[in-house]
Amino acid sequence: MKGLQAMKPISRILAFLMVFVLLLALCACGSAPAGGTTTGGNASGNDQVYFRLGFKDGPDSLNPYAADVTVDQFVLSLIYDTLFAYNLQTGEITNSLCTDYTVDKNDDGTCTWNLTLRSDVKFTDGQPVTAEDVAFSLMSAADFSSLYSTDASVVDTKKITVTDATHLSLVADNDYAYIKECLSNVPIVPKHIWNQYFKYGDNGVYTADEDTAQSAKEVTPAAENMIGSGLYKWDYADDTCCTLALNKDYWNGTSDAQFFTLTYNVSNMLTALQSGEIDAAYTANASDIQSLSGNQNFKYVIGDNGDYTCVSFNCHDADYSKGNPLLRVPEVREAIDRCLDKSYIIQMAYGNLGIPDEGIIGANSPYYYDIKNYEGYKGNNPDAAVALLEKAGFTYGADGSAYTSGTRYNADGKPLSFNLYYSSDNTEDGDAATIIAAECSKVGIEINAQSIEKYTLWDYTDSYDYDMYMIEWSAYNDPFFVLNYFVWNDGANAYSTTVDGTVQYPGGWNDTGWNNQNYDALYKQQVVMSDKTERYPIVQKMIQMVYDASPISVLGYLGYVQAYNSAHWSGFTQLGGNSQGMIFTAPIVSQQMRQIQYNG
Amino acid sequence: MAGAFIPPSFCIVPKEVTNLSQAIRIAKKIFYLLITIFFVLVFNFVLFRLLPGSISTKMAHTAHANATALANLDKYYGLNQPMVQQFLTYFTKLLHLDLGNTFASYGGGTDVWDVMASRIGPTVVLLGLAEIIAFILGTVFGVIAGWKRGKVIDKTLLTSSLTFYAMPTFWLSMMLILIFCTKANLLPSMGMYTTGFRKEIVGAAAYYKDVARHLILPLACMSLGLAGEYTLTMRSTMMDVLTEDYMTTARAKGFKEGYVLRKHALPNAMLPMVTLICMNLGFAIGGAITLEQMFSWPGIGALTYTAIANRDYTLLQGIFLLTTVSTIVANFLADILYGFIDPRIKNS
Repeated sequence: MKGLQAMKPISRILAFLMVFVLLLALCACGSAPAGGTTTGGNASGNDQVYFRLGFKDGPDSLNPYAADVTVDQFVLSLIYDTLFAYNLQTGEITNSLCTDYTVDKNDDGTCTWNLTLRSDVKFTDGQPVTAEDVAFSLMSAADFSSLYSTDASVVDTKKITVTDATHLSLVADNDYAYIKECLSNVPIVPKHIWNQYFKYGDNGVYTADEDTAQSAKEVTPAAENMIGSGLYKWDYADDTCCTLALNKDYWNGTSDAQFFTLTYNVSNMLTALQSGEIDAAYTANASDIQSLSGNQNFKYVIGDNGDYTCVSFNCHDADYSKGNPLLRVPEVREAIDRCLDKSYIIQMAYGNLGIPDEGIIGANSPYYYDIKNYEGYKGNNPDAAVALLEKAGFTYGADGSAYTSGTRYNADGKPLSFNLYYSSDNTEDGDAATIIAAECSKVGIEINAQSIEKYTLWDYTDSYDYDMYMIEWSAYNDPFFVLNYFVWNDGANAYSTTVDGTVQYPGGWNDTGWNNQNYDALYKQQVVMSDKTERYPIVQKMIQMVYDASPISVLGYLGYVQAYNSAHWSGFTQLGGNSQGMIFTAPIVSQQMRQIQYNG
Repeated sequence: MAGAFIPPSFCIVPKEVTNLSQAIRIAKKIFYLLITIFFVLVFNFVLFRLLPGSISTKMAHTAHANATALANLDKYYGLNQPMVQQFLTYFTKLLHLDLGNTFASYGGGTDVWDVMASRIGPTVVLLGLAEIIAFILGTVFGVIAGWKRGKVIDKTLLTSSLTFYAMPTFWLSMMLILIFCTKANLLPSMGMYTTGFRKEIVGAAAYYKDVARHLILPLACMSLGLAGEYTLTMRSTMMDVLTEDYMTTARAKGFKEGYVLRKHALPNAMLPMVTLICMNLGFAIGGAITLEQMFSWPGIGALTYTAIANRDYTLLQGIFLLTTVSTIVANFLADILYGFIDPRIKNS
């Protein structure tokens, strides 16, 4: 101490700081904790097996009513059961909590689904899962859930009847083909936990008045309220990850992974995988494939999730539409479509992670239709694009003389010049937009590719204040969701919602403005067909109609690289048992975890 | 004699007068501090509402909400009120330290203070330690470089400092990850601790050791850049000080070079460093967005990224308020500190 006291103040501070940093460095020395397992804190001190799945993003909320994004969905799929579930091998939807059901057609055209539930299922707090819980889950989600309201609304939640603990009936407007799939998404939550946040209204649904409008969503997820009946139960969560513990009393099997950790915001997925910080990557980059291919300890798949990427055209002819009116000319839209070499775009802009195609239903869907087999298929042909533009009267140059080069004009002096927006957080779309602009310029169409902040872009597209924009659409397994993007006058997601004659946050997704009564009629016809052979020709016809009218130009179906540590884990199955299926999606993660084996 | 250090014993101002003037000076500084903070509040409030787009758009796309639902949301969050009324509500709540609830992040409706509180610790640990390391390295290297001006060691330190100072954080992060994680597999590349290494499971010692391992790379990345900045500043001021007359006088008195450096050069050269360090400490509370994103470090910087991505007005307001107020307070502390370490200011 004498020495320290003898030191000058500045030297003393420096010495203290140096010692502090040295201590920190010493503390950090030593070997890394082993990947795959970690010494547990249990009484026996046994190693416990963790399965750590890395995500590029974090959660929004793990609260089942406020959940919104992919990570949230994974957590909820692992904690809660659903009435129906995907069969990993076949890709079909099979019974889960529901063991049996019948569908009765009613005189008024509606249908009644009579469900029988398993009687041996319990929540992790020991309470049995009953028909009351199912009814409550559907009723509360329909009006309130960020993620599942559309799914729960597939049945008329005012007409749910609970017969006894294991029987209930649901009424739907019609026998829609997608009811089972929608019901397979809605988590069954315990009524005795969540009931306190809702009010049973006069209209027969669980809802909330203004005073408590957000109360259920404000519940912080914790062990005492995240009670489910799924394969895993809540362990803990912080700002870096969420860990779930195996539910050893699960009624439908078990998993080798005693803990499932969802690791958030992994910016270096490949490094984290290779260094053993995660066991699997929900999505890796195209550039990671080469490294993964050359390493026998890792395997990857390129899965198709049914998403497609496209250029959307504003062809709406209403007064409030602010898009360039020239895009209402079908030949112009078709000409742009024919300029585009989809294979080249997928290869160059999307790292070849995808299947170039032009129909609106993905190759992994049972309703896929290869548009190349259509007699009206046109394909990439710039010469044909020029012919279309000439036919539509775009034969002039900027000075009014016959067109020779540059941008084409029509007789009114209107140039073929359009803005193409893409979301500023999507560099791949940005690359695609650049290629599209270059391709179109060759036939005299000027495209100005512009990066726009995501939410601002949505504001523009919702109010028809755009010419063209890049968009990815995701899909359900059933084609109803993709097909109703273009429904206008009728249907669950019809777009024609107006307030005082002007569009106010519309109720549907058809922001192209393209509408066709025949298409709408076909939609209504096919959506109640459960027989695929009967339904397929109608779906095929609808795909052709969209292709012919070109309200969008589909570029291809996107692929996702999903990778895992094959030295530690084996037994993964791609959804549907085919080489294009994903291995990790929220609906299948529970079943996947019951199948895989830990190899030590 | 500009910048000369006058030892307090040479001052002839009475102590009572000195204390009074010091108190007045501090009171004035506090007054200006409060005014600045008020304008920051106004600016923070207005700025985020001038951004294009609305939170309703996000809700419409995720929850597929109809016009009625969106109107109810606007009402719930008070977004349907006039701007002045919104500001008054915001300001009144702020006086009660109520920053409101998040708009969109964390499912919406979570207390902003709660969200930020869990992130402040990791950021302060990371950036606070980085500041300490950078201060030590920057001071030592800066003194050496200034002292040995033109020599090989000066050129080496100058080049390396400039390199690290100019190097973008994301690039340095990538290189460190590539070398120490991907190739050598020596250190963790992400997060604050290994999965399962919770304090209550593995014990405090193992937990902190694990956290320390996770700290090394982000800490190295941050402190190298800061150390470069501090070295350059220290070297520059050191060279100025070394040419002062009082340095020649000290040497002429026969003091040893080391003594001259420590007693006469270092205290004067430290003055600009105090401002720089205080300002950087203020910014440190706001986190380092790129660094925390690259290393998946759960701090305020990463939270800012999330808040921007979700256009979460209230959360962004909270973060920016924290950042700006901490910077202003740090600047204030630097001013006060100056008064104590530089007698010319204290006695003015």
